[in-house]
Formats: sequence, C-alpha cells, structure tokens
Amino acid sequence: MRHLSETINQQPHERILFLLRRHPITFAAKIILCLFLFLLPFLLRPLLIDVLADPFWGPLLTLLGSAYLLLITAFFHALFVDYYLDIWVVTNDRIIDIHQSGLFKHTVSELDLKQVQDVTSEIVGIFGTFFNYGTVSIQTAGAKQRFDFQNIAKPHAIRGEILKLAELDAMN
Amino acid sequence: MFSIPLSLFVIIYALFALITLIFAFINIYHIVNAGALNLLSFSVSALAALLMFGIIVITGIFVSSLNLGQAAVLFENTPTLPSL
Repeated sequence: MRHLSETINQQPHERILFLLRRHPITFAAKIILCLFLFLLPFLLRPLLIDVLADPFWGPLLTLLGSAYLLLITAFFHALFVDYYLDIWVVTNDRIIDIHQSGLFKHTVSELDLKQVQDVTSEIVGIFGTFFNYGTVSIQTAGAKQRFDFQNIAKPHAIRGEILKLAELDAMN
Repeated sequence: MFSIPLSLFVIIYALFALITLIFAFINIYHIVNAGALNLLSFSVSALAALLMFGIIVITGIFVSSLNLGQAAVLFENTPTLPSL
C-alpha cells in the first residue's frame, strides 16, 4: 500500500506539519444533495403505481430506476474522491498541492517555502464565519504564481504558521 | 411492425452497471495511489461499492423473474408499398 510520504517524495529531513483538506462542512451539502437524489425514486414511486403495474413499462422503469441509483452512488463516490484527494501538505521545507479533478486528472505541484512572497487569508460568508473556514492564498516567486488553499479550516491560523515557516526556512 | 424486446434494455443496463463498477474501481485506485487509504476513505468506498453491488444483485433477482421475450410495439402498422 502506498503512503502519502511516497506521493510527495518526502525527504529524510522533512517533516509533515499540516495536512489540509477543505472543511468537511463544504462536503456536507453534497452529501445532502446525493441523499435527496438517491431517495427521489422512492418518493416518486407512489405516483408511478399504474406504470409499474404494466408488464413491459413496469420492468423497464425499474431498470431505469436501478441505473439511476447506480449513477447517483457512483456520482457520490466520485465527489468524495474529489473532496478527499484535494490535499495541501505543508512540510518544514515545501508546500505541496495535490489536486484531483474528476476521474482522470491528478495534479501535484509544489512550492519551496523560500519562494513564498505573500500570504493572505480570507473568510467569506455566513457559513465561513460560523464554521471558521476560508481561503489562504500564497503568492510565490515560482512557476506557479499562486497557491490557493480553498475552504480550509482556521485559515488565519494557517496563514500565520506558513509565514513563520517561510521565515524559518529563509534563515536556514 | 417495429418492436423493442425487454432483453435489449437488460443488456444496456448490464453494460451501464459494468461501467459504474469500473468507475468505482478507478476511484478506489486513486485513493490507494494517492496514499489516502485510511478508515474514513475505506469506509466510504466500501459503502459505495456495497451499495452498488446490492443494487445490481437486487435488480438481477428482479430481472430473473421477468419474461425477457416481452417487447414494446412502437409502430403497429406495417408500411405498404404502393402497387404499380
């Protein structure tokens, strides 16, 4: 089984300090949507009693309903993987952005802490304020000019920690 | 007369079920490959896989009780060529 340290090619002197994902509350809305979509055929069933009693259209509608449930389940699983594999790893040397887009796009980009120029944290909206999540943007001097940690928990605290780490890394 | 047998829809369903299972397998591969396999990701993936497996099994049991020779007749009248 592969470990995260292999994915990020962790060096012997390197320590993983933060493993960040989007706040779970941002995924909760997707769970509710999938649950509603999953239950929809069961809620609509009483309206389709006549069609379901038909010897041809009844089985056909059941097959269609089953395919729909499979689709919703696969959709939920894909959403979970998309959520769970969007990871930002902060070590004492680098920041690694692991990004999963859909089924067939997986991007890993990294930034040396020495290249950090400016770090901004932002909390927007009622949910963000209430659950304390937001975006941390890192301006860099590297090829990828901007790193965004989207909807992570405690963005202001993370900004402070990244600034401290960047200072420490610049001194070494 | 043009008719579509129920068995055709069952074949299409089976292909669709196979594709969704392949997608689930690819998703699990991504989790393992990214080194993100832990109790939570395993539980969610197992739940999704079991749910899909359950849906397919229940549908399979339902399909086995059907008369797959049934067909939906779409056009009752056969077109006739004008006689010369």
